[in-house]
Amino acid sequence: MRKFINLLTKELRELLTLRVLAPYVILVGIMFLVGHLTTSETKRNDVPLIVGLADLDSTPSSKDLKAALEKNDYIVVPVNGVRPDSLVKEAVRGNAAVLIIIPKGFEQALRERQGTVVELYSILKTFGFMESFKKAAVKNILTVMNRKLSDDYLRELAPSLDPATVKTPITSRDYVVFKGRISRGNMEEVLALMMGPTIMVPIALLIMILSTGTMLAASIGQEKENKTLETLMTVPVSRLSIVAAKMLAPLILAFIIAGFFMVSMGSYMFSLGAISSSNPVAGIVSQGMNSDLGIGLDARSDVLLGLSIFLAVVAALSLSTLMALFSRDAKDAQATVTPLMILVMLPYFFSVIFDPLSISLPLKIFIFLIPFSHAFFAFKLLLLGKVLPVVLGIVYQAVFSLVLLFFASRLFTSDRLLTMSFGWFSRHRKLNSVP
Amino acid sequence: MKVIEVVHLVKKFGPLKAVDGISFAVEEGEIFGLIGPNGAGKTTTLRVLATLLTPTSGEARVLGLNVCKDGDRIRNTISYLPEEAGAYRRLRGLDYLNFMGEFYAHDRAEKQAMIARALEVAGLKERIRDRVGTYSKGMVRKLLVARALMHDPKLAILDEPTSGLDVVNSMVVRDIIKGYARKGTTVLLSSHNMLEVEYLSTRVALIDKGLVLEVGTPSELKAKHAAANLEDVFVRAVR
Repeated sequence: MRKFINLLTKELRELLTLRVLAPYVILVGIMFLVGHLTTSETKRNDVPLIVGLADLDSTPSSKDLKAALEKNDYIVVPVNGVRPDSLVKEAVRGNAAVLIIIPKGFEQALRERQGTVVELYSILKTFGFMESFKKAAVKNILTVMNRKLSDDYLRELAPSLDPATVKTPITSRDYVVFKGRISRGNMEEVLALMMGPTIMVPIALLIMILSTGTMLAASIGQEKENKTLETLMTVPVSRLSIVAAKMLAPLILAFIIAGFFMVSMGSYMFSLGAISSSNPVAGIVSQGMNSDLGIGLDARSDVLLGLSIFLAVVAALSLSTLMALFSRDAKDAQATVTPLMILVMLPYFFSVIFDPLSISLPLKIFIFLIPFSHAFFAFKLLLLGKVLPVVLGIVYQAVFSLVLLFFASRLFTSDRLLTMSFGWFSRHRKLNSVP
Repeated sequence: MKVIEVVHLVKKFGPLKAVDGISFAVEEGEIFGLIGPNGAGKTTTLRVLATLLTPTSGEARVLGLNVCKDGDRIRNTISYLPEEAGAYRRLRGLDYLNFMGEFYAHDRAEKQAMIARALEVAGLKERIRDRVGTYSKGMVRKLLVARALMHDPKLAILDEPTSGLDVVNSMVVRDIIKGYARKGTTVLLSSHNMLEVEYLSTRVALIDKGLVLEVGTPSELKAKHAAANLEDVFVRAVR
């Protein structure tokens, strides 16, 4: 055990360098900063929209519209002029996001029960993300105006009726049913609630698998390139210990990296959550739905998910070990993990696009033959209460890893480790590999 | 007592026969040199004895133990210095010795004694605290020689021990090897430098194309071929 710890410490010392960890520490800082900037920018932009109103009609009806807009949290700035271009210029000067021109004869047209047209100029200042928040507010202007006018019509025609009931006699009270449990709310809210974890878990897994695979391959490649492996193989320590230490060190580092990622994403998502919680009702409804519907993992599911992720990383490490043993140097070793990248990217995309329960059987077989797929789909399956497919996936991952580890350890304990390479088929390389 | 016994050893790599049935034995405390040109089979023989390669046929024994069956036990008593060996570039020299000593020492005191010996052999003074990546080729070689001898191995297998060293450092390393042999360490070394082998070795084997051509003390071989040095002996033996 002492010798194994010695090996593991050496591997960790080689891997856990400032150069390796610094980008992840910086990532946490950047994500934290981005999150807070997003929050502060959103708050800064979360002010009533300034609407420039050019009232060319100047009648009680047009003035009523101004009052209706102000009642709906718009800041209405009067814009004076005649020609549209001069009106736009003044609206821009007044920092308005929208210019509404109410034409002459507006009230007359309403009185005659004819439709009328107002001109609505959206003043685009940038193409930033925050501009998109204004879109809904701009769209709402016409709704506010139409509601005001149609309510006025209805009150005039049938004073005893509530205009809102006449226009929308049916409203809905939304419920969501999940795993036999019922909660107030709608589907969009449930999907929004699950957006964070269903995005974060696969990305964290992707990072873990790719980083561990690459690190392990590079480590074995460097041992070969720096000619240290030959010496290490002649010291009194079991060769399985050498392989195990080589695999465990990137595994530890992968969990550290995943931790950094989760912290950074968590801080980012938290700040986004702070934005959505600016709508207190939505926040309460979401929290209530979460507990009402039992969305989340219980202790058993947590263990299964952890085991599935762990075995996916072990499978990646086993595959990387096997591939890297064929390499001649670090560069060669990096190239050998390309198949691993393909085998990881495929299930990642599939897990984002497809639902594990609704895909066709041939596609299901294809996807689940890739051992990493089981971890990518495990979270979704466990949320849906599908435990058996996850357990079978774990068994498959374990068998896959054990088979690869068996071959890797056989290679590591044989003299082929020093003589083989992907250059078998090239006579030149083959002759070079002969000691 | 025979520390090494090699009997009809054959090692093939596919169709290529790197070692073609060689036999020799090395007694305790001897410095035994293998000399021959590139591709003669020297390194392959050393790797078999260091338990890195398994023989295709024949037998190789170290301290009476079979290299195929008793690899773990053999590795406890030998040290092997490959020709193109390197050290971990990100570790400091002292950390490298500490890392290697941990495999051989039974307790802290024994490890400290090993490190003290290695520091003396390496002679890197303050530079031992620097990262190996900053060392010159010669400094790395001295560190590796120190590593190979730090645990007083019963058998030291040294492939081109002075490779990459300048004249002065080569002489220092040769004297260190002789000193260890005097203390009882058996040394099996290979070199292209036949004058070095002649200076160091109590006996030598001339190897060419996987075959042992001659075995004897440098004086015996020189006398037999009426040659001034081992280089001349080798040229005449090959003819």
